[in-house]
Amino acid sequence: MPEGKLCNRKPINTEEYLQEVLGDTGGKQYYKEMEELDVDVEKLQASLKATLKSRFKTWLEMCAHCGLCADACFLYDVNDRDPKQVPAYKIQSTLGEIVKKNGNVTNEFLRHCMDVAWSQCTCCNRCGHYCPHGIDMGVMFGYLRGLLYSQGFVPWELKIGAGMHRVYRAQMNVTTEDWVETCEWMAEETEEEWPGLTIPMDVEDADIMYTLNAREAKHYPEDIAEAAILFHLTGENWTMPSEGWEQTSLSMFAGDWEACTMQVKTVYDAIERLRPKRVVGTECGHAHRASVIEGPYWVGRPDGLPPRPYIHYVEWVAEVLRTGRLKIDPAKKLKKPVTLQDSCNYVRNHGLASITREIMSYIVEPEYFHEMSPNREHNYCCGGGGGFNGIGKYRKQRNVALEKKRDQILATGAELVIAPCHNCWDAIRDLEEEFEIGIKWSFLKPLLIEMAIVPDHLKPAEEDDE
Amino acid sequence: MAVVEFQGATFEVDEDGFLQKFEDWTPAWVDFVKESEGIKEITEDHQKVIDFLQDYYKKNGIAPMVRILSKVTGFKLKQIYELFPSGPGKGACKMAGLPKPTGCV
Repeated sequence: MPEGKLCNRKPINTEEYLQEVLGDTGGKQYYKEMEELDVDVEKLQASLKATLKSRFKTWLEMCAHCGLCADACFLYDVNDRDPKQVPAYKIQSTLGEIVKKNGNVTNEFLRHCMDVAWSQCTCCNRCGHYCPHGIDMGVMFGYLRGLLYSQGFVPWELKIGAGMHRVYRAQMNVTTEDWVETCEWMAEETEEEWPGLTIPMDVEDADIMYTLNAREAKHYPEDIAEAAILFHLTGENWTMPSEGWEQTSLSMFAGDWEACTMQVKTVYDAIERLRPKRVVGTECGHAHRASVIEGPYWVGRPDGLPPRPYIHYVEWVAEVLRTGRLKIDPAKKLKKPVTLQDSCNYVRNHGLASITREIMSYIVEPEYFHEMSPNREHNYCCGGGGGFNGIGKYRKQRNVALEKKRDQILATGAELVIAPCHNCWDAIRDLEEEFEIGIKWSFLKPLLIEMAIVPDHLKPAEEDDE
Repeated sequence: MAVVEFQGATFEVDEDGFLQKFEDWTPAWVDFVKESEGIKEITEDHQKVIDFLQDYYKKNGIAPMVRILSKVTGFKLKQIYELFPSGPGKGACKMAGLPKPTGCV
């Protein structure tokens, strides 16, 4: 039962192993080894026995093959309505076969399942909305990913991503020291423009504990500064934890449930330690899903809820606009065609569609706001969800997937796409790079800072002197 | 594997246009990438960032955090963005010949 040096059934638990896999740029050797990786049938059978419960068994059996899920799937649509892209077919021909054969499947078959699970489904759960029986193929694909991960059949970048969570408790190699220093640095640089601004670390009993995405610490520290500016402007009593700040979960995309639990536990531990009144998460879709929606179940919380109320950034923004703690300069409201991207993870799957529209009413002149069609919980995935953006092996398929969002955006005539989700933001940036349709894209934070009325006492000293 | 040709040199690139092999990097690569990254001319400051990224990558096998880049080069975040408009994680790493960072980037 040969296992590769890089591609095997062992999770990445050490820095050394992580370095080795990272050093194999693009996963060349990793995927070569995957071709030889034996299927551990006994292990697969044991997994099925322990985890395949009545819901999935019923879903697989009750599917009437009516095909109503086909039109619900944007990947079916952009791939020339290929019958092989019908959600019911995709799940029946992968998970369905594994179950039918009770795990007696080949290496070749599991590699095929990997291709389907990570390049033909973004786990956007739109099909589940339209199935007359309520069968959610996205949820089942999440389960299939877990089976595949446990057998070593997982895309290279996601094996690394899950390993990062295991080694660093963050999806990137950001240590506690790196994190704290980055926040200190951002406070120092931002304070020059915003006198009195601080980034409070490990404050107990604050009103808000803020959590974010490791990319913000590693590659986009301006996002941290922007969050701090907005908390400063609204006079929030807020803090961030020195440990337990990483809200995302690439391990969820990888199907590494053990790493998911390890990661979200650090966040919940920070909540228990600092006892904030509530927690606010960053402008990220999957981080919300991981820490607010699924996380409580991963760690076995009996009430199915995080230890304290945990809201998405858009909920906080809507609240400060509604209560007037953040005031928008009417002259600065957007007066160019704008559209809004609905993140599957907190709109379709957590009902926040009206909240983001409420924000739009404060920052965009009404006649300039153009909805995509369809929208709200019916909107399509950005094209890069569920880990799709980050997998080089499936870049061609991902780029085809972007066509749906491109066409939706073009139909609105928008010049600016507001995308309060890292994954959507990336996909829209990539579609602009790929198709050059002449749009801009933005998170909410920089727009709000640009438009906010700054109270006199928070203005820079030199302005006061004038 | 895609191959690009520029000024008589050939470079193997990945699906996102990053160099496939760090060892293939030459100054011509920077010239090739700069336009698509919105950079008119490579200055000493650009070079300083590129040199540091390469040095760090050789030692650590991964791109540095922006904080470390800023600390070593002495550039503020705003200056780094002025030098590399598409950002330190993508544009600067691409020019320095580092692989595309993994994760949500």
